[in-house]
Amino acid sequence: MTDRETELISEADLIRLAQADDTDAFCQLAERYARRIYLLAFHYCRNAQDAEDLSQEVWLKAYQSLTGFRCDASFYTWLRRITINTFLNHQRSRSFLRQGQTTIAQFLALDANTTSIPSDLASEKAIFNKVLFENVMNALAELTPSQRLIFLLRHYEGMSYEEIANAMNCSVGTAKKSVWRAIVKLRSRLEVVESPREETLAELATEH
Amino acid sequence: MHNCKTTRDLMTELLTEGAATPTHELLIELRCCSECREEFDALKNTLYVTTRTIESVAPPDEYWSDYHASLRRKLLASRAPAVTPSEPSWWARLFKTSVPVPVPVGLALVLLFAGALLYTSRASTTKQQQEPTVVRMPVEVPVIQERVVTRTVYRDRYRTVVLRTGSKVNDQSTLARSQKSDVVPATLIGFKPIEQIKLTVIKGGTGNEK
Repeated sequence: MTDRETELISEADLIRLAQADDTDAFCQLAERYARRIYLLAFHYCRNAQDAEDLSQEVWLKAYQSLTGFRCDASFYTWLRRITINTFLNHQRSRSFLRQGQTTIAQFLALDANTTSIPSDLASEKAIFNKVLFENVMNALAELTPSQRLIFLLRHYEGMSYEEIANAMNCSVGTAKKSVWRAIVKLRSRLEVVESPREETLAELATEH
Repeated sequence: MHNCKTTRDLMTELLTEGAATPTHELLIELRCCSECREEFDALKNTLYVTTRTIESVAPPDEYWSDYHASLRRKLLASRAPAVTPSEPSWWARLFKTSVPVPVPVGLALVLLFAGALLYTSRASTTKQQQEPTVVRMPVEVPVIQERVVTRTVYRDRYRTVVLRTGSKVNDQSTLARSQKSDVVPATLIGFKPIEQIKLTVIKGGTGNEK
């Protein structure tokens, strides 16, 4: 099957094929959403290797329970639910293999050539961006995994508070409080850095 | 009247709800106070930068080919049946062998087994109870008491004579008349014979009487 043909196959067809035990079709579905699931996993457990294991566990669970998927909701909504449950199960069992966190320095050193983080740190702008990036990551690190996940679900995934509360088994108030706590922490962290100008932020966004 | 605290509350509500643009009410407040305006911009920028930073952590494209290859292997491994390392011995197979039994049959077997157990336990209990034991206790037995009433009738010699002669006798009993000191001549005026009379004749009395 060529790439062109792959693109043409709709999500519903891929789901139908995957439900009929077609591993290739399921892998194509995974390719569409793997990045989002990985990002959630990475920010949740803050370790690159654990994020890989955790996100792949999500895909395995999804593959095993795909026959139970009814097209009532979108595939990603269903997948996100599995993702959250997997994360929460890991949190309960505290079964992350690696206790340490992937630090910003490690992350930048490992991926300096490949990520969009600028490798040329000589320029003032690049340094500023690096500091900004570090501050955001450190502010997120100060939150609990649940608070971080709630913040991500709200501001990265765009879920409503009702959906978050339902998925995380908490009240809407708790979800709102977690988000606000994250914003306050991020705000205080970024206050240390000189207040970023709009154009700088826009550049950062383009770079990243 | 502008109140910075109220304005910040409005900001909080707006930003936690994820709205991109301020409400009309908030806009009015932000126009009044430069500090609040700066704070609002800072919070908005914070969220913007954070979202971008979150996305920037994604690994490069080269990473994903390995990731998907690894995932495919795991998916295929999860599908493949487990391979047994060697042929197990007959007794090991005996312990691992299972026979599919329909639920009603299984249920009936369980009930039968439970019934047999119950019966066995009860039988042993009954056997224990059959051993002789002496119990001494007073028992009250109702006895029907038969009362014998003996009625003595004295035969009147005179009356016999009168009866023989066909004369009537008085209805007074012989006993009553015998108790009287003087003998009243027998008469049958007003005599009414009773329907049934039971007489017990006691033989004897005098020596020449039969």
